[in-house]
Amino acid sequence: MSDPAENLPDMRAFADGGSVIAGRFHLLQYLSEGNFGAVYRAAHYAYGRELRRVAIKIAKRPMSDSQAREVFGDALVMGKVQDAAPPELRERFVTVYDAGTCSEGALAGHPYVVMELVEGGSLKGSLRVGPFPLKRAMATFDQILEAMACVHSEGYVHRDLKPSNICYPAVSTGMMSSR
Amino acid sequence: MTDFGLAEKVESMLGWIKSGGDLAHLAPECFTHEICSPKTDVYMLGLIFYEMLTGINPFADVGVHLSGKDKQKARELTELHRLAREGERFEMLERHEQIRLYPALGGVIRKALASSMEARPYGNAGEFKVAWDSAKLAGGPDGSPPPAEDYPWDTVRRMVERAELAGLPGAGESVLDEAMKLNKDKRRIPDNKIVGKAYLLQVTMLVRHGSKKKEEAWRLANEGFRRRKCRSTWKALAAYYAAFGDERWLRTDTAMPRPAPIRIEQWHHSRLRSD
Repeated sequence: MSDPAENLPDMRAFADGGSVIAGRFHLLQYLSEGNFGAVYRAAHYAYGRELRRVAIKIAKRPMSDSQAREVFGDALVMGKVQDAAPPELRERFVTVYDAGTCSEGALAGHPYVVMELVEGGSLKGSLRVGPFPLKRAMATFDQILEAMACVHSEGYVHRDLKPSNICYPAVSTGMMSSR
Repeated sequence: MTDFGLAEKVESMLGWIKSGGDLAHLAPECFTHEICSPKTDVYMLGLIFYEMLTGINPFADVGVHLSGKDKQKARELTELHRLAREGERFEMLERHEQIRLYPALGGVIRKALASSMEARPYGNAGEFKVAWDSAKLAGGPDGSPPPAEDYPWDTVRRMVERAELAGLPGAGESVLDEAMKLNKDKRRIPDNKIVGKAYLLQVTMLVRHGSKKKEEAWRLANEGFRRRKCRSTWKALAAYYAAFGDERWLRTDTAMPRPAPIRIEQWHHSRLRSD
């Protein structure tokens, strides 16, 4: 899968260059990098106005549509799971807003997925601080179980559950009204 | 979930890592290329609980990356998982001092972590949840239910940790405000006690950063102590001295009567032990 001789683009540089994905997602900051791609903080623009901040995951290699479907297919299923979940559980899933393939620039041919920006760090990060006391572990586990029960009742399997895939929303987010 | 905006989210990147990835979190059947079923997730859920409770992943030493075609490696790893199942690696769960009090909970997790899919009695996360909930009701040896409720103190600690991880500047003040606000609803801890604890947490967190955050730790330890002299703010000061061990004394430019210089040795013997 990862061939050392393969010439991969420097994913970090795209955020500095202020790249624009699909004409509306302006990359702001490089966040992290995984096996298949890198994650950026981005701003979603429409008619010259910024709508919201999003997270965008861009694959490191150009791919055909069928490959992209293979890699991102399960992420695209998430919207269905979220819609089918009871309303009080919907916020437990990261919302996927959009997906596609970049058409121009240095990233032409690279597929991307646009997701809700979740900035509170992951369970992996809090575990680095130390183990949880029982009641906290139980409270957290209750929530994960509820969410996974939804996924399974819709007939999907996650297959990649791990602490780094479980995120917290940001610290004390102030509520903002829309006008 | 009494949410304070803290609900966990399961990230959606389902198939991002298919054949290579973080092996330490995979179920044994992933190595043998069997068909994944919801039971695979049940195993992974069990592993997450294990990790939350003990702070370590039992397979952390397996954490190498493996390409999908590496059959030999896959066989070795399967063997490793089989061996792990024989007991040694999961002993820690049974020895855990808190979970030992609630054998029903430990049993549920243990069953979820069975190595072969047939041996896992829970077909999916829903069934797992039913078993888990009834185990929670079963309670401890004296019939007491496991501690399920979240106390403001835990929430404060979580906020501090999260602020810390996100590297938010000026987190101290907002954490304190949040803590007071939370406590207003629940009134579990007297407010003044929360003040001390918030300072203690912040100082102990800052101290971990080493000399980089020394000045800030010093400022907070001082501020807390001037605001309220209690066990927690004493501890915060002690944490500072223990970490940096410098000769700096308390600031005395306040209306407070001049406190005696505190040295970590004195403090340690007289107070920390009895705490």
